[in-house]
Amino acid sequence: MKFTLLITGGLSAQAPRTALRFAQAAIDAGEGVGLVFFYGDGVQVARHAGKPRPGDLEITPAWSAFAAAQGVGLVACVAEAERQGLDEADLAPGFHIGGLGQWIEAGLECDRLLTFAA
Amino acid sequence: MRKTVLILARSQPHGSSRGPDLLDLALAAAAFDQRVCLVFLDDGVWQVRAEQNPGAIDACDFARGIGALIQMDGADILVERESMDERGLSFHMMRPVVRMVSRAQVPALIARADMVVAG
Repeated sequence: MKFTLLITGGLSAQAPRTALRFAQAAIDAGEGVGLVFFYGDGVQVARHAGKPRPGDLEITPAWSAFAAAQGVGLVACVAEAERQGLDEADLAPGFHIGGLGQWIEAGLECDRLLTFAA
Repeated sequence: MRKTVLILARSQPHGSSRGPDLLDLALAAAAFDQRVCLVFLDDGVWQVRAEQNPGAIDACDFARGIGALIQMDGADILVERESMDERGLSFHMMRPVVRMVSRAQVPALIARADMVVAG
């Protein structure tokens, strides 16, 4: 089964953390993750310069490492990135800026679309 | 390939970006020629309350975009009856582009959809 993930929760939300655990579990179970699309507040995760609270998982580097290890695309929504003053130079490794069209296309090609919102 | 994209709008219209974000998803799916079903339920019914004045709180009237969605082939825009009842709203208070659905009908909409997004 191939999944597309939509993450709308930001840095302080549980959503990007749960999504990463799900993505890794899916890969470990022999399933596929086609695309991870960061939308709304989720775009914050794509920025490389954050410093988390001590003891918290550094979620952005964790997603970068996952993308590098598994070859999964991480896309931050271009419209939301523009609203937040984020461009390609601000992104952590493995993240790219793209439009909702990429999310739609990934959704058409996958078996299941999952949303991590909170 | 045409799929059915079901979007469940459950959040109040102002104070977060969930409303406009989900509407943008709906518009993108319709622009890519997918069948879009946008359902307003729970606090989301407030998004389609007519005669709002979001400018009074410096917010945009993003719900006007629903008019653009309705012009696109295959778009269905629904508001859940029980959510309106629970909030003292009635169908005649809603924007004219929506039609009503009962809570009991929503699971079937979810089951028939290929992609489901809620927010």
